[in-house]
Amino acid sequence: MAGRVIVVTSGKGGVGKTTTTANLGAGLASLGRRVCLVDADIGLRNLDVVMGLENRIVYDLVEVVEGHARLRNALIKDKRLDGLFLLPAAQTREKDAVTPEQMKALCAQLAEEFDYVLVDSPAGIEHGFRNAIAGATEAIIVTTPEVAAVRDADRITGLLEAHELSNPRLIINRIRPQMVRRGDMLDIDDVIEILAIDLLGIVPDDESIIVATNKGEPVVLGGNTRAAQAYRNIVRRIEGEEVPFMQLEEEGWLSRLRSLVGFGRKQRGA
Amino acid sequence: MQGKEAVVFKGNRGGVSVQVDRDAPLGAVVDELRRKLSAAENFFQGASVRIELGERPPDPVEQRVLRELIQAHGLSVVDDTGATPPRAVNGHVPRPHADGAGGGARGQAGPAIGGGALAPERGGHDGAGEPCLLVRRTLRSGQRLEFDGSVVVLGDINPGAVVVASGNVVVFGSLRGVVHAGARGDTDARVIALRLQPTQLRIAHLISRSPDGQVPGPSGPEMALVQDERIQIEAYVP
Repeated sequence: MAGRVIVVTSGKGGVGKTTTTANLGAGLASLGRRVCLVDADIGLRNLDVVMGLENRIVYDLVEVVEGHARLRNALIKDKRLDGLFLLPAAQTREKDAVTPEQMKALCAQLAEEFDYVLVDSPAGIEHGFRNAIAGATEAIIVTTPEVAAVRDADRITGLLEAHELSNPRLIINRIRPQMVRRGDMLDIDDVIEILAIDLLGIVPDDESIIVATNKGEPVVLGGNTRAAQAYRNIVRRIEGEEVPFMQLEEEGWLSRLRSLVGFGRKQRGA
Repeated sequence: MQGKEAVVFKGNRGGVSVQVDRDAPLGAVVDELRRKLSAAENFFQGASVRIELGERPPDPVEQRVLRELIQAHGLSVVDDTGATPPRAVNGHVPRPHADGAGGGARGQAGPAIGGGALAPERGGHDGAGEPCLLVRRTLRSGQRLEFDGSVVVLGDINPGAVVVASGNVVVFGSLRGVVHAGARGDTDARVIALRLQPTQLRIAHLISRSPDGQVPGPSGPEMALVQDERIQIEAYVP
């Protein structure tokens, strides 16, 4: 059976697509799944750096698509997890070096071998975005609790629907409970109300992410920070488990959230 | 790097020349020329270029097409008259001295530079008789430089930048990106940098990568070379 091809996208840059992709991939692989991460951000590749695999790159996605390298030779095996692989983007090329049709064929090929293919989308809604979503069968939208990011997430949701990727799921990244409580940050309810899509998870803002990212170590694999826990929960939800949302602050918050996102309803996919 | 190329950029005593394959159709020549000029981005900006047709039958229309294409990329074209070629072309220096072996020929491209042939080079480590490209700036992420000969960079090579040279690569600065020396198979090629901290090094057919943890490197210049079928790094002592 073919694997699931999930694109991780956001519209706005800097909200954590690449970090999310790396952590979800590592999380799924640590559960024993075979996972391939695809960096679709041609010309501005980052996923290799976040994964700490930059020094292993020999061939890249563009060379595979152009037939100069075999897919199997371009895939980089992760240094920590057996089932985790990365297909790096080309850095010295541009987005239009690849067409959506080629990406579609590539994703289909990868889906035959892997349980999950996670495609890290570039920011924006142009050629690179269309490439990233071309082969996807599901989408995860990452946003932060900022008006601009939510606006872009809404735009992306519409575009995904137009490409027959309905029912994208949402990750709200970098929530700072204290700020939400003070009313200085959009809270989850606000975001959900605007976007009206299923919530896949909430990731608290956490300095450990910055440290881990700079070291090239997905935070999900190390220790018990709140962010790591949040990613592990998301991974389990992707796998079809029902996992309660993390309690970020006081009691009433969680129950409010539950009622809002309809926690407990049947999960899709698996 | 594979097959016969329709267009080959050469750096030589006089500057840069573009050698056009004798049999390649004009379409292929134009495509490849455009691709190579674009790939080098602003690298050749302002340089003077000679078009060398070699044995290719001259065709005025064709020459005009090529000339205009090159000029459109910000380069100027020098007539292939064999007169004294321009010197001090942007980013290019004549090689320091030609040793015996016919290297003293004037005017046209030195005989040491084969006419677009891709034959493996021998004994590149002394650099004599070999074209050399001087790059007077830092190469940043996403920039890729390919050169048939040796490359000297007066600046850094940042992570994400790639230099591919058929000869040696010398960096008067920090080498943090990827360098492939001896790219046509010359295992005598070397990579020297004031700070040698590459993401990945390739010499001829060999690849080595940086160690994973943070390893504080020595502060002095280092040289990478092939020994026993492995890329070894040692302190560089002039």
